[in-house]
Amino acid sequence: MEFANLPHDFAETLELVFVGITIIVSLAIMVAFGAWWQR
Amino acid sequence: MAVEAPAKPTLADKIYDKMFHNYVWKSIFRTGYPNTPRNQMLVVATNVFLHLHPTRIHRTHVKITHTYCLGGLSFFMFLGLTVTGILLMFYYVPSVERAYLDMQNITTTVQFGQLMRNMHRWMAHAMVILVFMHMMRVFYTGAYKPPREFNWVVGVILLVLTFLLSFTGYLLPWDQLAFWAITVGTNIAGSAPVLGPKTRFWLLGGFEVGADSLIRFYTLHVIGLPLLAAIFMAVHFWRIRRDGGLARPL
Amino acid sequence: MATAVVARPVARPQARARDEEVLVWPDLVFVEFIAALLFTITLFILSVVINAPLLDQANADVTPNPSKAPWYLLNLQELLLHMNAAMAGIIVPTVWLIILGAFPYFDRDTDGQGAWFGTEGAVRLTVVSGIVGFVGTWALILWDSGKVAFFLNDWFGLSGGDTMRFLENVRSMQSQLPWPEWASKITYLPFNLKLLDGTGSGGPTTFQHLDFPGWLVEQGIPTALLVGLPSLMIYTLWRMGWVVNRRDALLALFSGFVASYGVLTLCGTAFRGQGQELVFPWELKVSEGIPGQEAGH
Repeated sequence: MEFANLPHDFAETLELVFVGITIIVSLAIMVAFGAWWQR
Repeated sequence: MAVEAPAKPTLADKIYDKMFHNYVWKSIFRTGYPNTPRNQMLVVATNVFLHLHPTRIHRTHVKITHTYCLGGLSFFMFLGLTVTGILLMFYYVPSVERAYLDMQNITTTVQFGQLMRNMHRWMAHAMVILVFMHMMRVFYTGAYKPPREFNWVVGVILLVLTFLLSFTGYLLPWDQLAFWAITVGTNIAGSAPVLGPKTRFWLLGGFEVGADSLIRFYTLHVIGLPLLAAIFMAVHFWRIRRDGGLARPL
Repeated sequence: MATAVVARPVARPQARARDEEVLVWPDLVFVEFIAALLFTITLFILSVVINAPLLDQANADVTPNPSKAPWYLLNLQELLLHMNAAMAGIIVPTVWLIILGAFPYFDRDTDGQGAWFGTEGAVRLTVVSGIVGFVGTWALILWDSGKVAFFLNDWFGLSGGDTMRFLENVRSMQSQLPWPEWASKITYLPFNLKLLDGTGSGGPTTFQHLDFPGWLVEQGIPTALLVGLPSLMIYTLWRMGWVVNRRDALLALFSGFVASYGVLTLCGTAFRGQGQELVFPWELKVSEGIPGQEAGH
């Protein structure tokens, strides 16, 4: 897989957006896992 | 009453016995495999890392939708940042002549350098966000109420330390983004009434962001602030145990 | 029991309810492990796919436009555009951190603790304060950027002419109103008071003359709004019967704070372009600041 560089003009904004999305997705997967494992 | 005779030990049983019941293994792991309640409690109580936890915990506190593991994840981010940070420290020298070249070196020549640098930066952003979300969770579950008042204050201090850690680290790549962001940040600090200019001078080690600022920020970032954060985290975790664990309904 | 807590001067930890407890190993430790593993994997994937930025080497002579602080300080940088620098950068965050730290000493009632939104009406209070904070902060930002006047003129053809210009943004109250000469230099001390010989930019803090219109625009109005608007919101909610005790007041305050913090950060990162002009996110452009080169690329 290739590393991708963030577009120059939006670098700082997108940094935050991507980390935010990653966190939300991870938490969502955690909650789903919890719902399944901790029935 | 007929009692079943025990089955003859199979080869697997004998190998298991040799591996996990020998003197050396048992000198390290003294409690036995945690598949009985007694062993499960012992393994938590007698392990230096795990005895952060009590042996038993209220059942609402293991639900992911209660805490979302946010506090634990913040600490985990801190650990991950320490590991990736140390790896980056092998290749980085905080001098104006070398810093940027080292960054280019890390992101091109060093094996997995780009990956380590990326992980360090994303985990840094993640830690700030997770700490903030943890504060929100504690607030909305009312877990700052007595007897946990002081732990909330320690948490606020940790929030500030997290911001400072991120801020000091931001300068280290010594590129335009870093240099000017820190210039803006320290100018804000310098605008404080009365003590502003002096504080800015102390932070930067001079009147402008330069070589002295870099070494100062580096020292704060790799040892000064992490030590402080570790001390306050120790207080924070200890207080949780002392206050009777996580907050639960009366 | 709750009465025992009230009777003693210091709150004691609750008694354990052993029959309600589960073993930490494996129930908690496994969950923590999964959480750590999951975040490691997702952050690893993110690190493989997207690079952390590395621009040109630091150069004190070349200033990129706009120059932005790291994202968690962008809310303060946004405030900086609307009020006096010392207030935006130091006083407001310090005062807020102190208030934040004082939360548990203000709300000592253990009612509803341990559960999400444990008290009555907590959810709607949170949502409403959040919305008020969100909308209110955006409205103030838009007003102070002159956009409200601009839209009123552009969309509805409304214009107050020259007499109403002082309402365009907060700064106009200083520049567009006919202040008398003496108002910019009101002497309140007979001598020049210097506190701590200043080193570096800005010079020493001196106290002798008051520039009243400047003070009004940079400190008076911002302070009034920062203190007055949340108080107004909580007071209104109290009169409506939605805020009943201290916990409710804190809920409203905190939710409003989170919403405005989010808006300020969002605005600072996605809506401030060159010269800190308010633009749409897709119009963001960063100029390297290299003399002789065109802005942006």
